[in-house]
Amino acid sequence: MKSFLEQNVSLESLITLFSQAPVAMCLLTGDDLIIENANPQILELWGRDSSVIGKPLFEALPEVKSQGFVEIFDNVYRKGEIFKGDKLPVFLEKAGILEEHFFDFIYSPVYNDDRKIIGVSVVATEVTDQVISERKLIESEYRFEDLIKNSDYSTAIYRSEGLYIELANDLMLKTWGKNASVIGLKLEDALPELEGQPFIAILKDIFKTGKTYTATEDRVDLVVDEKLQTYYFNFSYKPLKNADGEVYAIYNMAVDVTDLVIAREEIQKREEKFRDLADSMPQFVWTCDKDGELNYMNDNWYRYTGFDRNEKPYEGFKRVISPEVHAKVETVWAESIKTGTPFEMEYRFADPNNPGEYRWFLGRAVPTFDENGSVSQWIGTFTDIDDFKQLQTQKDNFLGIASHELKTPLTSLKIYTQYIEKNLIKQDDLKNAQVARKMDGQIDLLTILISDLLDVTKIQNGKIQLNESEFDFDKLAEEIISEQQMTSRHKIILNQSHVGMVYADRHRISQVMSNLISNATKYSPDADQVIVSTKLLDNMVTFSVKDFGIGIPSDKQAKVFEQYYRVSGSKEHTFPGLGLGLYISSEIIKRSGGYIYVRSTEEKGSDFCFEILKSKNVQQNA
Amino acid sequence: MLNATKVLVVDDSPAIVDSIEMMLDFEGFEIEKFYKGSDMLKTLSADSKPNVILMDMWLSGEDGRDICREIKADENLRDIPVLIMSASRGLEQSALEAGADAFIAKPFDLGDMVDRLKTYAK
Repeated sequence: MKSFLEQNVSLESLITLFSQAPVAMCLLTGDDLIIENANPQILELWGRDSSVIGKPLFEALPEVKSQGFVEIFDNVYRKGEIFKGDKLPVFLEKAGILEEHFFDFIYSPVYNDDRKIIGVSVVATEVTDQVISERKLIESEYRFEDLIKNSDYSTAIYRSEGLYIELANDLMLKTWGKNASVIGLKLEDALPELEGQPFIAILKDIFKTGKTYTATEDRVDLVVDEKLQTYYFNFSYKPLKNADGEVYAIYNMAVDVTDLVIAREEIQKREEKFRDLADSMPQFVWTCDKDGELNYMNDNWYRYTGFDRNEKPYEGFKRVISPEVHAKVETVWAESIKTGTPFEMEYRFADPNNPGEYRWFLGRAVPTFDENGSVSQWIGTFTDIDDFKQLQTQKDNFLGIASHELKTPLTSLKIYTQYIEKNLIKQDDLKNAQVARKMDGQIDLLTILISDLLDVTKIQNGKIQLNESEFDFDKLAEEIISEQQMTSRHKIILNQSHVGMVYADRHRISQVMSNLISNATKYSPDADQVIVSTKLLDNMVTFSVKDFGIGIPSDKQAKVFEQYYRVSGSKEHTFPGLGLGLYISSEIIKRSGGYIYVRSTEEKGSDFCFEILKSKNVQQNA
Repeated sequence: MLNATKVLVVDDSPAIVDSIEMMLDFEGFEIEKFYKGSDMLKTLSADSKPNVILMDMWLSGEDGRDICREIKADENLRDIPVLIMSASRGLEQSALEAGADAFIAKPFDLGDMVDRLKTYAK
């Protein structure tokens, strides 16, 4: 200023400079800091007009007095220290409202010619906008970092093409199996195991292309807990661009989906395993939905039929099944679907190797249930039983022939025996005649055993036939008892009610009577009697045989009428018989429209009964 | 016994033919035995009729039911009672359908057999 003065710069010019400078200036003088001069810029900053000129500063701007300026000005004015304020906040009252403004200040002491401080000059530049935008930037950067740190996803930022890890949240560090010490390192140095994997190259490429890269369930091998492990991630590499559109960093977000992928792989593996299992079965394995719609057939089915796998399974099924079985299958299957009960039926399927021929299959299906107990699907099989059926037929034929052939010599043997008996009686050799009579009885037992074998076959084939006619039931009972009495050491007692004529198969009913009585004597080795009772109630004839033998445990009582059932336990082998008699008897009575049952107490004895109708037509007999 | 009941016995098993012959002889019947149905058929005529024919069903290449049908188809012979025997009881119905007067299951009781022969021979 002095040099200005020395150069005789006019005061007017100085005032112009002062008033028109693009900075806010004022001159304060005296202890009260009287506003000696203030240019329009500073008046605008203050939000005041020129009327403040001549007033003490803190009178003109009372709001700043409490904002630390008294001390600042005091230091400048008393001690001559220049004060530079950088982005200092000042609350100024404008239109009655306190507003925060930011200024860069320079407060300098003003000296007179005697080097005595007479005032303070103020030069101020408002930097409010700059400060606010800086603040906003800081806030946004802070928010961004905060966002990353608290993100639920593994997140990291790699800066520049060197891929320096600028930021990685805890989740990402955990994903990498690393700690915060990797921040600042190059990604390839922090995770050397990435060598040989495509990620570093992909990241570097983004600096050229500027394009986001995303991947789903991508495999990444990482060293975690000091071992190389496989993980799967859904992740993205997003380029961060500056104002010029240049990529300066990459934002990486990743979600670990390893558990999900492994669980799905497990399910796939398990499904493959069961599919392989089903495909390797010699049977045809199939499934239906809950409504009975076929939705899967195994490999073997397609190998057998040669059908197209893309065709609906039911379409092929309809072509291969024999028409006369088809309708019946549909009915039985519909019933199983309705009731949710296991399904079993014999099928005939066209034989692809012999056109026009069919093979027998056994079809079976069971429902599977969901947690609510509703049928969720059906799992079924078709098993080729054609060879088995043929063998069964062969067996049945063989038994038929064998039975016939065995009976032929028995026939002549029986005649010879009876001839001998008659001759011996004629010669009055009654003792030997009795022996011949016993031989004849044994021939009868042998005949029954042979007949039983044949009967079982007939029952299984549904070929047992009843030749029903009217016969005298009382007389038959007497005959059978007298016959049985001849070969039994038990006393067979008959409690007979009058029954009269009955319409049934006389031979078959006699077979049942004989069977029940011979069983009673057979299974009561320690008893000496068997009681046979007959009864007629309305149209129902009851025949019962009571013994005092070993009895049948209650849990076995229903089983005694099953085929091949034998007395169980240690005594089994000590009782004779094929285990067919009660089964045959039960089938005969069932086919005669009657009932057969047992009441028994173990170690006390059994009471076997059958009931049949006296007449099929009650009115005829009434 | 002046007019003994004449029975033609037909069975492919010599043991059966032999035993029946022995038995019927004992009971006073007159027997003529055959092992083939066709041989038996040749001997039948309006003038030469037995009282009863007792015939097995399976006759080594011949079916007793076919022989029976032939007899029953011949108006000169159809009044001869034909009893068919078999060890297969299930064939009873088909024997009766072939025209047999009775079916006898093998093995049979001698007494029953004699009763039936006497019944049909009347």
